Amino acid sequence: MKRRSINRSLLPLLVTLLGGSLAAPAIAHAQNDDEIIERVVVRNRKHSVWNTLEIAPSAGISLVNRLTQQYNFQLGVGFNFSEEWGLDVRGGWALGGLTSVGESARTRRQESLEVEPVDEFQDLWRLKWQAMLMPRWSPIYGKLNIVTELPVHFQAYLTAGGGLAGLESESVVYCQAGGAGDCVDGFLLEERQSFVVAAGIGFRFFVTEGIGIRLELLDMMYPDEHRTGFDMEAARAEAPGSDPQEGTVTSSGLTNVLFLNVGATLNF
Amino acid sequence: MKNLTSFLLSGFLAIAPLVAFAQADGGADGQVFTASDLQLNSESLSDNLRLHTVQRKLYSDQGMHEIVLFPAIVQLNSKFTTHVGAGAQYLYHLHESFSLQAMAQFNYLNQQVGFVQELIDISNIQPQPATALTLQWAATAGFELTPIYGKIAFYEGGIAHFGVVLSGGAGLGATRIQLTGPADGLQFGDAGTRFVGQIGAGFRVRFDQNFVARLELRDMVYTAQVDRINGCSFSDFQAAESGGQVSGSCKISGMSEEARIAAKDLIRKPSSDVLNNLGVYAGISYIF
Repeated sequence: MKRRSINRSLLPLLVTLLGGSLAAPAIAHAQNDDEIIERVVVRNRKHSVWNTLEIAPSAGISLVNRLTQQYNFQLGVGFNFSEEWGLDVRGGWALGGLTSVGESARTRRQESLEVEPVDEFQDLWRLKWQAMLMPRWSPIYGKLNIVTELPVHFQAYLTAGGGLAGLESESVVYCQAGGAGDCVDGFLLEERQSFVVAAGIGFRFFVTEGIGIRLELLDMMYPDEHRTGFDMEAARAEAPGSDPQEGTVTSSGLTNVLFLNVGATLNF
Repeated sequence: MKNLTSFLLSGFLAIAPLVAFAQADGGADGQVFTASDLQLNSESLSDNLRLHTVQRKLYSDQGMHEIVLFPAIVQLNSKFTTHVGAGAQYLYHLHESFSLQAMAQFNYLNQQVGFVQELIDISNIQPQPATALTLQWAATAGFELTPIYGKIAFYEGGIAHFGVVLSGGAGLGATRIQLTGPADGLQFGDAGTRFVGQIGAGFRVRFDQNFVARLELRDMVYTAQVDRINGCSFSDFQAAESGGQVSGSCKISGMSEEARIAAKDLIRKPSSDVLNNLGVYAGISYIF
């Protein structure tokens, strides 16, 4: 009987091992390839902001408008100390007015002059200008694909800081009419300055090298105060624009204004 | 001799895959893929590579089930009302970027904001009843689209995959209206079950095979026409005042005197509105 050089039962195992040995380098290579590409895609930043000066103009609208509504225009000048950390100086100018609810409340309130002392509404102070110092942390860098064709790179950031703000209040209740029966332009207009703190979350979408679009939710908070316990009839006797003599100014917590800001970022 | 040959051949073939793996590991460091090569070339080789790196999905959604818990749902547009709640959602991913969804949410806090009481106290005005309805719960069903897909890195470390989701649906919700302020103790009246529509947009970030975090903005749109409170019409409240009979649907017995007066005033002139309840939905989901 002729002897076989290799045991027949060993053949399938040998074939399997041979196949495995041929395929293994390719599989291992592919896995490594996938892993490295997987890690490189977002680590390898196409748009770098490190060591760049940044100019960021934006326009914002207040999102929750009860008695007042506000529009805020900001210009930020900042420096990016690293890919993740930056420091912005933001200056802003705001305009606004009473909402339709505020106008209705004013009209209704002026229809009757109460004998009893009345209070002014809270949260009537609006931003007029602001200057803030705001550190910015951008820990997230990403890529997204719009309709599978257009890759867009972006950064997500958190920012918080504070500064000084000029505030303006247009009264709903307190009217100085110089003794006239109707109050047309005599609603008390006051201004003051106060500290302001702000915190926000946003995205910066890179359009080209150095130019991006910014989308941000920014909450600005400043101390509120309102006049309480004043006589409306006595107030009406005051001359328009004169210092108010009625009531006492009472602190009433913080006014929160949530802005949706849309703007651009320019990096040099 | 031949047996020895067979033994050696078998041994070589047995360790060959291990050697191959080891060579591949070493190759990434030195010969085939260096980190510098990839960093330099990944963005600049070609547009195809750039597209590939974004398009390639590490996890597939098709055919998967997803259960989402939203422990925090907070209303953003709290002009006259405020809502805080929790919810749960189920999704079945029919396709990579299209899924069917069903959602239930319960707002454990749903009432008017202090500003409404301020309007009443100072100017003797208040929003129309239909404008100040609150949503107690809602159950909707619909779809979710994921048209935008991307990847994010936290610093230079962890990588997560995310999608921008758009959702839409319809269903039912229970509404109520606040009848008395904090001074008299908060009392509410049932304003009925309404048709609710839902649209939303947000982010869905996938951390691994099974866990996903979600942050979405959703607008619950519901129609409101307030002509009955607790099933009672204006004539029911008039009849109750004069000691007469109320209609069978009217559940007036549980209402305090202050609440009855307030409810009668509110529906003296029936009002209607379409309300938008825009909320932030933060949740976490398990996908399997």
